[in-house]
Amino acid sequence: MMVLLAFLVGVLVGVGVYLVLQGSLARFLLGLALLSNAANLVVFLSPGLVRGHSPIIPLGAKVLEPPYADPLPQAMILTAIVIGLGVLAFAVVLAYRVHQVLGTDDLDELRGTDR
Amino acid sequence: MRTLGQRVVYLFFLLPVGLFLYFLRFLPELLAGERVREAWSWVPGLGIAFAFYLDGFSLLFALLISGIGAIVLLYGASYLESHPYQDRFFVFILAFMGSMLGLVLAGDLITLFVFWELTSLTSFLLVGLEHERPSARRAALQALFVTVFGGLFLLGGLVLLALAGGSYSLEALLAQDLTEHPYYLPILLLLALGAFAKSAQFPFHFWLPNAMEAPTPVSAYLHSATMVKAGVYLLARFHPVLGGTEVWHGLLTAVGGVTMLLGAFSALTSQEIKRVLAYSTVSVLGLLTFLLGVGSEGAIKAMVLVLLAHALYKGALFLVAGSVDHGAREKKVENLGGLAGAMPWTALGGLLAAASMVGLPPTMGFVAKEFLYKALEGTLLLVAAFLTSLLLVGVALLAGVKPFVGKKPAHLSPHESPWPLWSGPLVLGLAGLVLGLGASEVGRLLVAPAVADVAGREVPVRVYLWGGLNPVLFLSLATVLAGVGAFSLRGSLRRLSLPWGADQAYDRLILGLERLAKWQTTLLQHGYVRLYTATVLGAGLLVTLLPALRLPVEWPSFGGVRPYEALVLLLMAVAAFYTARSRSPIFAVVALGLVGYGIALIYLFYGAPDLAMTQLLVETLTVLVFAFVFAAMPRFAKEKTVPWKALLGVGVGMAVTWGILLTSGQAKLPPVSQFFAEESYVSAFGRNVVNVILVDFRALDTLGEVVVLVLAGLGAFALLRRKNGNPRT
Repeated sequence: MMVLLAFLVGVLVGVGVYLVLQGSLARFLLGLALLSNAANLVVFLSPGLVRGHSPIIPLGAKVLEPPYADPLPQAMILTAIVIGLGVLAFAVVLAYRVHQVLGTDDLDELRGTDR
Repeated sequence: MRTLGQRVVYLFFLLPVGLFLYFLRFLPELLAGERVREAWSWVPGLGIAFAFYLDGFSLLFALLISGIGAIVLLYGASYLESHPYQDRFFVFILAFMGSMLGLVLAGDLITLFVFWELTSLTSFLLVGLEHERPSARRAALQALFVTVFGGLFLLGGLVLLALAGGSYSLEALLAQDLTEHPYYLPILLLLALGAFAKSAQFPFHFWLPNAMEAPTPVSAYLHSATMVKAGVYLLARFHPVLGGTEVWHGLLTAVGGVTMLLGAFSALTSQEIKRVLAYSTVSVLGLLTFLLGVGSEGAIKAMVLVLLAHALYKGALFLVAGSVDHGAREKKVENLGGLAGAMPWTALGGLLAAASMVGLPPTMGFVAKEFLYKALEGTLLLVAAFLTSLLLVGVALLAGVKPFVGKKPAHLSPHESPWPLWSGPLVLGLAGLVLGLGASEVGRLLVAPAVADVAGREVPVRVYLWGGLNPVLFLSLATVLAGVGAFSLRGSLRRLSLPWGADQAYDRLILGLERLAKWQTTLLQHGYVRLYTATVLGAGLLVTLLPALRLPVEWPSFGGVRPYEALVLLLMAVAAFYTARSRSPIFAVVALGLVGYGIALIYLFYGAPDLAMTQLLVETLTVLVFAFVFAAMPRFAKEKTVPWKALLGVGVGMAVTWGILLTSGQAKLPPVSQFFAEESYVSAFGRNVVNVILVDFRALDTLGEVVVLVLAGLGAFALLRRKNGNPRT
């Protein structure tokens, strides 16, 4: 399964990179969303996979006994997901304003607005 | 402060006087064969020390630097009185003096290099002292470029030298002979390049005459007596280690020979008095290099004597030129004449210095010339030395005699300069006379130890003023007579001078560099963000993927694939491709959401219910935000699939896949998670370990995260609140 997941992440990153390299601001943002999801998956896969054992201490027990899915990457990803949302939401609104004010979606036409 | 400063600067010269006396105290010790060492640990791991080493050869330099330094400081106090940058002048020139002393006293290769570069920097500051003038700025930059360019090679040479000799310590190196070492040739070439650039040897000779933009005291000090001799010092210093081979001999005599002839010729054909002197300095530096190249005991004796004599008479002539400029307001040598009446003291200094430069007995210059001819007797090299000497006799007459004798041009109304301006050259001129008269003592005290250090062994030295009626004496006489002839023929010689030279080549080079910089800047700094992204990704790919592919990968087993999981993954991949290909913004966003939901499912399958929940919520929000914005946007323009973009995507994707396969589950350290698993309930009373990490163990991080989210929300809100049109309203 790890092999398949690794290839899936590869696909997500590849598509994300391709989109980020496009001239359209909207498609750039789609690529960004894909890349941030893919990055989370990379972290998730790093300790290896444990199927079906959540890091939750059962009632009556005091410590978590193996096997369990590694809680540390999960905590990091949880943070990353939320931050990702914040970044993306801001970027999307920014793109919206750019489109609204300048009337273009083409990144190349955004050159030199500070002149 | 300023008025106080005006008086205080007249006392600065006491510092080098003190140094001079201090160095003189080491003389008995050195004569007894002792060496003086001081060292502080600097980079012990590399064997580099901040070390100093004083032997006979360094002492000669230290005495010249502090002695002439004292005269120049007193002279400068008067010469630059009411100059707007007088204060800077003193800061820079004292810094230079310190650097130069450090250079000649350094006992460690890196220490030597650091001081070497410091002299280049302070020289830059001094040449550019009057920075309002474009010509001064150009000359300063040119001097800096050329000497620092050489310094770069010098560093390479010094490091190689240390590798070859096994030590950065000068003393340890001086005890070795590295001429058979495989690194010998690169070491010699690199050191020589550094030395040639610093000492204005052909083809780097052009910067020195241009450096005459500096105020006269600077020219007298840096560009005749001290800094430009650093290159010669370096070559002489390493003569025992590197000298005596065919390459050494060929390289130094050829470069030195060309430089001394070219310099002497250019000196005699120049118009401005300071340029005349600068070119003659180039010539003498060439002569010193030339003598080092010859490398016989006699040549080394002659080198040390010429060095000493030249420092005295050339320093004096520069100071005289400054005094003449001050008293008669004229720089063109052909417009000068008959000043002896009005400026008697300056004239006396100038004539004494010129006598030494011409080589009249009983001056130091005469002694030096006797030894020069004696060292080269019976070889063809004598011809080159003779030609140079006769041209330099002409230069001496031009710069040191012509301004004071003959008829005074009508447009000059000269007056004698204040005493600090004429006393300096007079002292130096008299020193040339006194040292010449006391030649045997000078030979015993100063020359013999220096010669022994350059030769690398004890050399019997007997310096004398009068060698009897021998062929050398007649050759000296012939030199003077021929020099008078050259002086009177200088008008015809001027017509021979080349219309262009290395200076123009330098301009071409700088212009070419500027063009190259502009071309590559516009090429690389194009302003297209996604091309920057592509460059970064592509470069990152090259440096990571290529080595990574060589690592052995342990393929995790394909086992444990459940059909429904595989189906989810397939769907996600398809959705991802659809996101990229769709021309409808809304469909693309829906496909993106599908990918996100798929990820939530993966989290769910592999024991991360919290992640699954959050991902589900966040993905829903993301899709909504996107949909809200994209609804207002037109369909995506049809874009052709650009092969290189697709290829880059495939490459980066592959790299990430490869990285996961290489690293997943390969933790080499005990996982910190174990701590959380054991302490989550016991210490923090929470059963959901992930939640406990977020709100308890790492609660501050979570607070930061909340702040980021709030800021992003505020930013988005502020952007949306603005009305259409001008974004500034």
